[in-house]
Amino acid sequence: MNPFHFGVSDKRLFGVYHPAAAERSGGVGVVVCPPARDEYTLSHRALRQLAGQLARAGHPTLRFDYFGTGDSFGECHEGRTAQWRQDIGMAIDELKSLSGVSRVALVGLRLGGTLAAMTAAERREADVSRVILWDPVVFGNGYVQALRTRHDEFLHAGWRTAPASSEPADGLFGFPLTDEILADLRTVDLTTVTPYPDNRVYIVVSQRTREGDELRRALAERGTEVVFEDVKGLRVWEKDVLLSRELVPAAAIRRITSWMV
Amino acid sequence: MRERVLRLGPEGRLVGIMTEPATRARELPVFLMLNAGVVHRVGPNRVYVGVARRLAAMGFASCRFDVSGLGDSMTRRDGLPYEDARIADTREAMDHLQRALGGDRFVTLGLCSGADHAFRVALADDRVVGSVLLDGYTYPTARHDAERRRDRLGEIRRRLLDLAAWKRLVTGRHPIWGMIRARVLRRKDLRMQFMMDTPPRDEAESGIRRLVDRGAHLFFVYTSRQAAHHQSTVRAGEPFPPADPSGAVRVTCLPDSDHEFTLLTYRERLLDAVGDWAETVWPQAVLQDRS
Repeated sequence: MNPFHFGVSDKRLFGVYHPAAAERSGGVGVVVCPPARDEYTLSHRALRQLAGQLARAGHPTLRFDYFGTGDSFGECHEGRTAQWRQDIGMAIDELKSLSGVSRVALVGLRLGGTLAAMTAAERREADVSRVILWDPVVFGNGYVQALRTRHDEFLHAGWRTAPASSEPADGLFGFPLTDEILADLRTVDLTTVTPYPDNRVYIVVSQRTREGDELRRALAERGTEVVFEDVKGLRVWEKDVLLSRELVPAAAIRRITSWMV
Repeated sequence: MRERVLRLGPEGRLVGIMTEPATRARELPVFLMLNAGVVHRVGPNRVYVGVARRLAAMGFASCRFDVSGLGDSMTRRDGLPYEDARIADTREAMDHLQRALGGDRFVTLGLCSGADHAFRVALADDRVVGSVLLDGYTYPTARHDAERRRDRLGEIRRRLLDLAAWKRLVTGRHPIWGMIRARVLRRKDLRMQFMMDTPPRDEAESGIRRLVDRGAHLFFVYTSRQAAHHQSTVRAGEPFPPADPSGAVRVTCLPDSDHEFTLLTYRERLLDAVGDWAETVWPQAVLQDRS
């Protein structure tokens, strides 16, 4: 495991490269695309485990932080989805150069899945071989609404000594929500994103949702083959007292690793 | 400002990020940021990144790193229990930074269990000349506890009439389910390791005295419930931390902030508070960087 910064000077990204286990090398490379905002911190451990498993299975794997998140350069308010899609592109190039692979699979959790699908669809180089979406965000509006609900629940959670309210300057549940970021998120609609490599996409969910079902219907209508599994696993990116950050969503990790064979 | 990845400790087991100002004065201490609970080195809501960059703008270098087994760091090979391992990890990180940077003075900074860690490292190693304890130890008075119990009853009555709370309860999103699951699964091991292990008050006070006698500076920042705990001791005329006329022990309360600085306004106030404290204790910092 090798942590490092990569990319251009004022927009350097933090990444961790997991080389393929020597005895099993030869697998396709994998770029792991993390979720954003509060979900990023909560799923850090899960994504480290996922990257470790993929590397052990013979896949050189790179996980990284988007610009303005985690240990990457940039401030939180500078995190824009167009930039993050470019970041995924940079991570693909970096992994190819580090490992020597010519084709790369993208595995993305939550908004990371959504951005991975968008990046694969718009990337000119034909170097993305597979896209795996893990509980992807389907509609940006729903994502923002869920954020607002979490923020509201947080304000009423009983920790405050003052009245439960907040100003726009307080951000939304831990991170800024500028007009630009809001506009970015609102345009997200995964049901309209195609094509996928080989016209096929892999989706693993921890719990079935109406939006997820809608996504699969829309993809089927567009002639995209969906390999789907509901592992009924842990939703580690959701805050749960004491438990979420410590546990590993083994079922989802197992399924993703098996799809890479 | 410059940020780079560091591998610390034997075999480079620990992963950290060094944040350095454009020019660093060698006599200034280096800040070490210690994991808050099990959150990796960026801290809850990326708060440690903000603190590191604010300090760098003032001329201070800092290193945020993961202790063994957390974040991106490997586990130790010597099998030390967690409480001892995190101290040993931090001392090894200091050894590395001392060799690499030439400075031998450090300030430990941590939130919640990280504050406990920061305090214990300070006691264990004379190279620590300051500690920033974010929601560190508190010892609420008995009267405060009684008042709190009464408040809680009122709160429960209020919540019984709150439709949203019932909705959260029924849909499984209420925090009480997490607490029940933690009980059912008997995850006391997690509580012991990653939540604050508060020592008896006299032990904490004698530790503070030892550090102050050694010339160290302590900065306590309390939010939400912890601020109320602190204020209850002040009202009772027996403040914790004890009042210190020399100015070596300072306290700031942000009672309207939550424990993880979720609201940006209070995160900014935390950065200001830590910056002001560092500037008070090491006034040459800002001057050095501007010169």
